[in-house]
Amino acid sequence: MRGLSTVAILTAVLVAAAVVEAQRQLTTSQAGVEQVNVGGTPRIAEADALRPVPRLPDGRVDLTGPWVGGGSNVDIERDGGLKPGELPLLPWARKLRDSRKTQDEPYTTCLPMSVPRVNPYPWKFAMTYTSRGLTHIYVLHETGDAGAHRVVYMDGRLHPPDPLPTWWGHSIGWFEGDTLVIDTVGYNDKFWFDSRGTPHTEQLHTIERWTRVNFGTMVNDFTLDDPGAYARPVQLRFTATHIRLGLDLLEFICLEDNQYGVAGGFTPVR
Amino acid sequence: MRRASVPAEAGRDVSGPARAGHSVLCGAGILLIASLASMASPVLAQSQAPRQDPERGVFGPVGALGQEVRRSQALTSPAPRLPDGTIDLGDGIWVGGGPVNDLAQGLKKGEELPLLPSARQVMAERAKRPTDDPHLWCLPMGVPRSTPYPFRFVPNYTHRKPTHMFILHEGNIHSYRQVFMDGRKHPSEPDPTWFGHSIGSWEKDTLVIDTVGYNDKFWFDRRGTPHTEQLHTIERWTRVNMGTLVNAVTIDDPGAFSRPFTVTFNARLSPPTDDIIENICQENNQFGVAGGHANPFAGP
Repeated sequence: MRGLSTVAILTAVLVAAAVVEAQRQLTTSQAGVEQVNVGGTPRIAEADALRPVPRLPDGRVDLTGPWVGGGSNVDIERDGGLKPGELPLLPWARKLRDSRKTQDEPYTTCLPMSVPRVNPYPWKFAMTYTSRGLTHIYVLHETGDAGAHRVVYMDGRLHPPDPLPTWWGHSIGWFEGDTLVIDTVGYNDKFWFDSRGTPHTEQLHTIERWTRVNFGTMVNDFTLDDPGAYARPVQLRFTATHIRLGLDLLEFICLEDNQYGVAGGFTPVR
Repeated sequence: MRRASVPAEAGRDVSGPARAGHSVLCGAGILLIASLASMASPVLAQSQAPRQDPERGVFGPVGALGQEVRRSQALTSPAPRLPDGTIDLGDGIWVGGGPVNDLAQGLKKGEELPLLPSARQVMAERAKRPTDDPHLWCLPMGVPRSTPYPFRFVPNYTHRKPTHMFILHEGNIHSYRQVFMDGRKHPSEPDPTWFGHSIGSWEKDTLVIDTVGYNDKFWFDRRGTPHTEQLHTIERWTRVNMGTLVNAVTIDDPGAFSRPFTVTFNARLSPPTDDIIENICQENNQFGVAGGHANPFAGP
């Protein structure tokens, strides 16, 4: 047990160091977008990563994780594998992205980062088996209340015809072979895809195709469809890595520890 | 139409597991009046909450926030089980199961909380500033506090069987609590956190959650019943039938109480059509910043 707690403390120290570094970078460069130093979350060892995909007793692939990565963070265009300028933003959306200021980023005032964004901290798919089978999958981010919990309905329901726009939208999921497909509509237009400020509208429709290719790697083939802000649907690819074995999500209360926002003298976005 | 924010719940009486329904019936007028009333006098609302018909609400069929009050019938059929025989706690959403207004409401009749003088003093101070309740500022409510909004158990099945139980609340802070079900022990010196370090196990049909490593920041209830970092809780969750889940919590905190004691709260299953909906406290904090209260947790 002492070993476990040592690992936990070590992780906490590493994560804390990453946070401090991130805060330092943010506060010293509020005018422009700067990459937050990633690397605080220990990754799985190479040998473990190459092991086969684990499966649940019913044969289903185990997607739990915890993972780090697998989405956009700094610049969705680059993070998703496109070359500069390839993202088909409509002129107004490009203008909006270029005019957004770092300190206005909703995520830095503890609001949800939403889809497909990730941060340098771990997250997991919580696969919920109940007496009615796999009814929900929850996405839990270590960044507690900013990440909140995202719900993916696995019970076969469809999207409501006129969903109320929310940060996380309305997500329905199903398996195609070993790939978890998540289809989401009903997003609000408030969150940014990245710290660069890449925007979207309430017409956003996303399709994620999560495939665990080995024990340590999971690919997110991501379709971004938003005729309100993009000239055509975009196909992006992100890769998530399993965090080091034996580690777990830690408690992270964004609002308590909001050095960047309230304590930094920035008021929340109106 | 959006549902009002959780912090505004301060004005609602929820001594029983009343359920604010998802559908909103009334117009914005009632909502506004009710919200103002609740912000103006949270103390009044909690200390003089009128006795209400548990099947209706103070406002009749609508709650103080203008929401429809729906209480599902308490189903008495047997509790469902997972294929491995374990009681299923995750097949629906629950309301109740912890204190909202007053931890002492969970005591047996005639009992009193064995508060130490220092704890009484903290409570007296908090009574002067009820708006300092961290929960109203979108901070976690800790254990065993509940809200008028639903929560659910999420057993996380992995290739190693159910390794974690997560508890997700719709109300503050729409976050999750993590319970380790993989047989690990508490670390010898846990970092104090809002939800502490929780390990869970099954004793027959009862889910037992043992937690240490709490910080001393959260309030047990709106009255500000305090605790210290020495807090140790043991929750015993028993689904006595389909619709009822009993939570008997032993609270042991030699820093605030003269002896351990047990409080019991019931949770009721919500209709199967209900789900947890998105509630982003930080976005919609009507009680705090928008309500004109100074944030006691903001930096200089």
